[in-house]
Amino acid sequence: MAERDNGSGSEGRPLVSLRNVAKTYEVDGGSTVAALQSVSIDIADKQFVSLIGPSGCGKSTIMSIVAGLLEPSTGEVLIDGHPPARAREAHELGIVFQQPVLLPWRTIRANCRLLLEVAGLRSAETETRIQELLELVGLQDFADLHPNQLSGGMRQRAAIARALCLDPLLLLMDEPFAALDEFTRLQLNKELLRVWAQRRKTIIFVTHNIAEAVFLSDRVIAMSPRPGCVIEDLAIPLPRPRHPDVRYTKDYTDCVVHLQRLLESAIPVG
Amino acid sequence: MVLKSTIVRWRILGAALLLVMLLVSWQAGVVLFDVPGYLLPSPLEIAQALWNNHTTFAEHTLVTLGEVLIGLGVGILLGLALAVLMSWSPLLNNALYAPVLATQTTPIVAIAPILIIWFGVGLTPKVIIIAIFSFFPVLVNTLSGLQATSRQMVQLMKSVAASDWQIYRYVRIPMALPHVFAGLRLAAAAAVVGAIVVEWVSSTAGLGYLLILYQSRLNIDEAFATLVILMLLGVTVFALFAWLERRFSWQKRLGIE
Repeated sequence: MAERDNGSGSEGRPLVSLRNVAKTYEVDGGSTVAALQSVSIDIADKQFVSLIGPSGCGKSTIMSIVAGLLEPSTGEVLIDGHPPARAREAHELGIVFQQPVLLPWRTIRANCRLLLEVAGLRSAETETRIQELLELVGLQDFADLHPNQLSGGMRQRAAIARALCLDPLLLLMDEPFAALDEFTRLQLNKELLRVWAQRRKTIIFVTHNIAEAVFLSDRVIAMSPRPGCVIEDLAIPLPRPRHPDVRYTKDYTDCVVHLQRLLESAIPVG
Repeated sequence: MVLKSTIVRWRILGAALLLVMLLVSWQAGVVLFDVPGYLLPSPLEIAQALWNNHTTFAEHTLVTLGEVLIGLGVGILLGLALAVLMSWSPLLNNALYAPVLATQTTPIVAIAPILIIWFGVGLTPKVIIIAIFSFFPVLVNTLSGLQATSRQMVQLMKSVAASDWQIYRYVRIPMALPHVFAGLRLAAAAAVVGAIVVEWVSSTAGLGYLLILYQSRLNIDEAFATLVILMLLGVTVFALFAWLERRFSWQKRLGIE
């Protein structure tokens, strides 16, 4: 079945590297709670990696630490050899959250333009790029509408287009489809793969949906409940480009079942 | 669009009809039950008082309106500035919270005489008191509006190394606008109340001054006429801000509730 893969592989320096990253929070009364316990992960360039685990396993904490929005208590994160702060300044990060977080007073196109304006990169060339990305996510006919006029799935597509507008090296997706209904989620899974095939980025994808993680990823990293640590690093041996029918193959089912068992055994019965 | 304007027209017509009915029954009540004029003048008597003294009323209305506009302007600027500072820095928030609250719990009628001793009977104490009345609703609403931005939106902005100022300019301030407008409308109404209070305490002109004067002389028709003008003044200032809101608030423009 699937074999272990530490991700550093033969492609030289990893794009994202977490070295013994731990995070403890102070709670009232001076005691501390460990959210993350010494996590080390290397992610190669253009790799699609999912972080999976029960809620409270610190997957979103890892996301925030990689984005440089949260300082780790110990350890370090390097993105393309530099700390996250540098990656932010170089506009190498794209983020998609569970909620689309679009600005309601801006049109979809203007929402995509937001980060370019903030970064001072707006130009005729970026306008063309926005148009291409809106076409890529299928929103070209809705570009001049406001978010309240779009469905949840469309808003999430807009959020993906916005994240790609800066042409980042690394795309961080924090449970991007968790708030959508099952059909829309499947549809967007397929679309994400199509988009990724055309705009090849390194993606860190946080989810608690095992099937979704296996279908999308090159590699699935499973985490234990609090304090979070890596309990499995599984390479997904499914071919690319991935057809939805791949979900009916034995390799796919084996991966899903393996992860399912692992995560069930990791969660204390309560 | 046609439908909407028709509905609006009916609504205005309905309100006007109700007002007319109210005035007619008031007039009828006063005549029928022979209510003495020093208790309750009839609408016609009030209208007559308005007409007979219209130059006096115009003069004093201008004085009050001027005070209201200047005081309201100062109050709005103060409220907006404090809201931005307090939302930006938790330290300033803690430091300013108690003093701000104190301005609202202290009876204004009690501090007005002190301000008049300090600054004389001129415009300054009036502007200060009207500003005290009007900055608070602006501050409270703007503050909650500035905090309405989601944490994730801020994280998104920070992911491209946006400065604090950029986060305010692109996200927090526009996001706060609907709340700000709600605060402005309340402040406009409060400013008129503030103006009357300070004119009552001490002044030589303005509608509050007129009201005191007419009451002391038992000119009840004129006192009621003054009240009518005050009411109209409040409604006008309120309507001005409602118009600004329709014009400038993205929420109204997009029809989001």
